[in-house]
Amino acid sequence: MSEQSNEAPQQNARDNEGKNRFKKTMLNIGSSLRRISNQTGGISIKYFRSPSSIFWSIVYPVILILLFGAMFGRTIDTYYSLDVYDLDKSTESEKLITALSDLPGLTINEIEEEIDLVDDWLNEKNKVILLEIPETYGLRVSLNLTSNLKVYYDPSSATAKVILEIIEEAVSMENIFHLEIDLKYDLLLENLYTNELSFIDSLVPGIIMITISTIALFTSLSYDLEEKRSGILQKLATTPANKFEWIISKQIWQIFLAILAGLLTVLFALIFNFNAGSLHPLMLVYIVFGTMTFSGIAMILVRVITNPDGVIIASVLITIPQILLSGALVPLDSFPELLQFISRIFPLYYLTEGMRFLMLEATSAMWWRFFLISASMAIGFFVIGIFATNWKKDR
Amino acid sequence: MLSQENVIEISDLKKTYGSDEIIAGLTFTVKKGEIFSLLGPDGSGKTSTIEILVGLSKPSEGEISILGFNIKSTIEMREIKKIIGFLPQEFRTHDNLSVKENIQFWGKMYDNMIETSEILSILNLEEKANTRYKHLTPGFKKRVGLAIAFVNNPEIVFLDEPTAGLDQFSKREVWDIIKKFNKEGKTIFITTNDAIEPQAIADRVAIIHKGLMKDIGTPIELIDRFSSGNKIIIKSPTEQARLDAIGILQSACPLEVLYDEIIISSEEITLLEILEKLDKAKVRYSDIITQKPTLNDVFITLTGETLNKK
Repeated sequence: MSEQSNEAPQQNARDNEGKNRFKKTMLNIGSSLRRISNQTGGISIKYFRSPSSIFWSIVYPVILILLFGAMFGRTIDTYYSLDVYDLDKSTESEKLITALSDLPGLTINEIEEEIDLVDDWLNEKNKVILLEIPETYGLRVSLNLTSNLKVYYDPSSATAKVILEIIEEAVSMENIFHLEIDLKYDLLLENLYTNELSFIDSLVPGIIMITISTIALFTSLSYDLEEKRSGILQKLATTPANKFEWIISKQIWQIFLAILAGLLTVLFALIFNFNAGSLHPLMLVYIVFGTMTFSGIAMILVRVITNPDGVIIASVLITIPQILLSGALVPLDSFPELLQFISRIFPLYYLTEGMRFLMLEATSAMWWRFFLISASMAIGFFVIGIFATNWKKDR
Repeated sequence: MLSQENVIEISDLKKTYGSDEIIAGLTFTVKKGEIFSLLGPDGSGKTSTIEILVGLSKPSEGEISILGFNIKSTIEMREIKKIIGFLPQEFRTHDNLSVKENIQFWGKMYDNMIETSEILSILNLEEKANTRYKHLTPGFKKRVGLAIAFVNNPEIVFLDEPTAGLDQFSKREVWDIIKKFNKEGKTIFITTNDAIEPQAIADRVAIIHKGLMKDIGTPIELIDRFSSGNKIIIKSPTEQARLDAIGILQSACPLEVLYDEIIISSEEITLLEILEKLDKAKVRYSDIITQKPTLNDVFITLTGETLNKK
């Protein structure tokens, strides 16, 4: 009986202890969340009052997409112009000009004026290519004889080379047509994925990832270093806040900025006929991976670098080779083999390609491979970054 | 305000970085409600001591308790952080936040933040509340730093050289603020290399040199113990006049020459006797003043060096 009466108060004491511990844990979590939100708020106010931060996170991605979209984002709206000088003026030459006009992406400009010297005319008019149809063209074609079309072109011009390829293809087709033979074989195109990406579509992931890497490396690096040098980090370390709260609050803000930069990139890419249907919800996960990866790298660098000049040098050394060699802007298959091999060492390569495979087809084996590599890199760099961060005393 | 209760107890504190011994064994206590000053030249171990006390660095040896909490315990250090305030040396808070935003930012790190309006009022910062920190003068920046150090209504506040780099007027403002908080019962721990500062505000001062405690006591106790009366300082108008004065006086008493001043600390000669000797020899002087001894004199007596090595 007395044992039973002793057990009850002990049980009550244990219950109370458990309740108190639970209450204390809840209070600690509440305090921790308040500090995280306070720090994120502080970072956001600071951020929007800093012109350089606004530039790197908002203006920079817009400039990149406008610039690269305008340079390489040519779609069916883009036309090459070919000047044709018809000396024959026959039905056959008219047929040829009509056939050339029907080619996609080519606009024919028939020259009506008399030209003495074609070379001088091209220079004078600042043109790079001209197709001359000789006087005997119609006659020779009607007699089933070979007639040579003459092309004047500037070999240093990329545009002239593209137009030349179009003309050559058209001439081949015309020859086949005149030979009146049936084609023995043709090409059937089979897309490996469910979607097809235009150049601008494949450019968008690259721009998003470049912006994320720039935000993390240029702004995060300089912010972290400034907070370290000004004593803010040391002061924080003497408050109830801890290192993880500080890192998480920075991370929340960086992810917000990365998503904002991504949205701006997509929005401005629409100008260049970006296919919004190719977007996939899991791209947000890649944005988180990218932010974690580059924040982790920034945290590691802050441990090593002690002055603002070092920040600029390190940022440039890391970002520029990545941007140029990771395939984020320029397709990798146009690179020599050695550079293609080097591109594999850059995190930007896996993040960008991963996003592209996601846009092509979310279930492909390649997609899974890139997803796993990107996730491992994000976790790896972030964890190393946390361990590398010493916000107390460096000696 | 002073009580016999010790709020900080330090016993045989040592700190080494590699083979460098920064603190070579400090033992002292700080009483509740006092302004305690750690006085020493640069490199004497003041900042290392304060960094250990606020948890920025770990001691290599020794025992330290703050309000009964052992700083070596991670869990107890968490409790200490809630009840202390700290102003690091050369601290600059967020440049692009206003004074008010900065105070709120730091205050919200704690569960017991003082009302922003109250802290702004105590530090006379109301007019600057919406001014961005980067636009403030050094004196106001220091005031904001103090506001941040006191924002959580701490029981003990650690200030690492709080008046370094300030002009005399701003220094006095900072001292007034520190005294104001001290009157409310806060214990203040200050490090400094300025001998005037502990004399102006500290209840007790510990003099340290090369990581070792040289002496501890109230400023008056230390001055009485180690200095020998007033100093007489003679200023000469020319180099020749100074050399003549040295020639006349050095046979009568020990003296030291600092820049263009001849300093006599000895009680072997009076001011009147000095004047008589100089007049008799027709040696010109531009000024003769008497000066009370300072903690700097105490420091010289104890270490043979001056506080300000410049």
